[in-house]
Amino acid sequence: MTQDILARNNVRVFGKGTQPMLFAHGFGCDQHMWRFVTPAFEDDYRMILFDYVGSGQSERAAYSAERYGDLEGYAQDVLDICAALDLHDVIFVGHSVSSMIGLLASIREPALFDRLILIGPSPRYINDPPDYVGGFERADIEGLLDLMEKNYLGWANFLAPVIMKNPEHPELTGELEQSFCSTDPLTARRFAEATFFADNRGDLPEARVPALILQCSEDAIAPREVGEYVHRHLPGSTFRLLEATGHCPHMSHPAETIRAIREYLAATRAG
Amino acid sequence: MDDLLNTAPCGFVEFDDDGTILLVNATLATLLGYTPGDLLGRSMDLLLTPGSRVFHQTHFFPLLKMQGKVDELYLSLRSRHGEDVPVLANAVRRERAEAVVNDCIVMPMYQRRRYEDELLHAKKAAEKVTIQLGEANRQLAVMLLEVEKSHAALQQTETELMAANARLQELDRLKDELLAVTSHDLRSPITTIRMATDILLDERRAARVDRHRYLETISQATRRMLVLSNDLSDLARINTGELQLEITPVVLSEVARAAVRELAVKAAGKSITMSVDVAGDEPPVAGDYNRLYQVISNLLGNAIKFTPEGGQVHIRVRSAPGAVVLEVQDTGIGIPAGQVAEMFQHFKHASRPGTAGEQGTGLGLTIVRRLVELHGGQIAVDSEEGRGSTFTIRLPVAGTGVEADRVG
Repeated sequence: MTQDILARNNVRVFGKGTQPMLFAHGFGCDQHMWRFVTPAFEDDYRMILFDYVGSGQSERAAYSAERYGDLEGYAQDVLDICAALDLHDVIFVGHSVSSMIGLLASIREPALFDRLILIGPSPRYINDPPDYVGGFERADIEGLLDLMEKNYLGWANFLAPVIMKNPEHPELTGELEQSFCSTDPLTARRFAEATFFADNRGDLPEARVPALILQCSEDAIAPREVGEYVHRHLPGSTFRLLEATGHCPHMSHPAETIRAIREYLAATRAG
Repeated sequence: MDDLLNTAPCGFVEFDDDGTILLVNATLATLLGYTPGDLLGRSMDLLLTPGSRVFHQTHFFPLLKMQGKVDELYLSLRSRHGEDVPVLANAVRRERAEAVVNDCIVMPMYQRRRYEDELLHAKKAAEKVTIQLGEANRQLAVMLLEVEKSHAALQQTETELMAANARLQELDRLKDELLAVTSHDLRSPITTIRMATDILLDERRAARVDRHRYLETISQATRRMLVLSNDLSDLARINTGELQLEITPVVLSEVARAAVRELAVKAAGKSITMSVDVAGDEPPVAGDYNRLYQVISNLLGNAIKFTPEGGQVHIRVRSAPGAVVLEVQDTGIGIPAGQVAEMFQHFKHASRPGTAGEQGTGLGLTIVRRLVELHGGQIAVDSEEGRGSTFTIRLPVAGTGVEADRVG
């Protein structure tokens, strides 16, 4: 059973520490997104990376539209992995939609988690006038789905095994045997719908685990107002504004992201 | 930027990992209704539709960062005036001036987008039809299953109707046979009574005969008619469910002994030896004493009737698991092989005259069988023509759960 879960979610475990640090990718790609951040923590923590069912190199056969049409299904993946590895005192690091997924998992089993690190969280992407600004109208998300659909027409390119030389990390060339972001178009669409049509505002006050909110300065997907909304409604949360812009600071500004996480863990440990 | 790149027949933009536009050529700026100066230092988000902004952050940029290049990615740009501009983008990461930058060229694809939209539309329509066909197929399979079930039910009904028809035909035959046998059995005593009374009423002929003997003959004939009438009445009441059984614990061996005593004279009249083999310790059965007496008496009477002078009739009662078994065995004329199976069903076979010309009704065995069945038991016959017959009845022990039917 344990082996089934680890294979199902393409779980990788490494690191020299004892306290587990579980990294959950957001919508779009997979666990490879964390590779610029994880080296900074692997000496001190037990690192766990995984792909949600339907993403990356997870087992396709495990996908169920019924389960994964809702973020609770993804939260269950997190809890399944914690159970399979018998994890306790987990530091959960979630990007984008994984912020809400981690929150849902921690609401269901708060005793499992020590801290939540939420990168670019948003409890609801669609505007809800008059008071809530999520950043998008429904038509914008339909435009995204349309874009995803059109790109899958030429998606074969991304399934090619040849990886171009990466100028920053030439040693990576040849490491990646398969291109990531190779998600099945139908499951990718469903993940997009589950992400962008969700409304988790009501879940924020239920949080029992302290959290760090990492907010990028200019994030079109999770704007600053949304990050501040999360901070106001999430008990025990700390808000940190990054100089990084965009939505993926762990990729675009890994050094600043690492520093922010380290400082938070040190401060809350001392406190 | 050199003129070649600036005016190339494709758009060019360079941006950093923050998404800040570092370089943009005139072709792209013009395509979107800007000048290059409007765009330098601005965010890439300005050039993208809201959907594309998400796609840029979740797919385009991560792919570019991880793989170092992106090929043929479809994006939707937004012009200064808010129009959507569909483009195909190629991008590559490179080092320039000791920094990593992202260089991207874009090609407008209005025509190709129209064509691909139509392809996508056709593909979706085909997928929809496939889904609908699949659903129709599934419904058809369900309907076929229902049809098969109905067909099986119809076949079952047909089988049941045929069986019911066969039963009705059998009943019809039995009715005709019963009428024939009854008519025959009535005719004989009626003829006897008519002849005897005719003689007695004729003074001249009456004077020459033994009046007592003739009156005795009339009396016997009326008794036979009464027996027939009683048998008919019993059969009718059994078949219509009006027969009332008075159920008490009955020791079968006691009933057997009583019946043997009753028929001893008749047996002696033909020098037939009757023997009783009963242990006397068998458990009681739940039954109507009088009706069980009628059954045993009928079987004994038949045994005596169909056994020639000097023969033997044995009656045995023994215990069996959960039951009491009674056997009436004779050394009589037996039953022809082809008639054994029908003894309880064909009145004409059962109404044969006895070895001494004894008359009876053909209803007796039918009544015996029905009475045994009403007591929850079974009756069977084993016979060989010329050697004799054994009638065996098996009745459940009282309290075993297989009780007698309280008919009526």
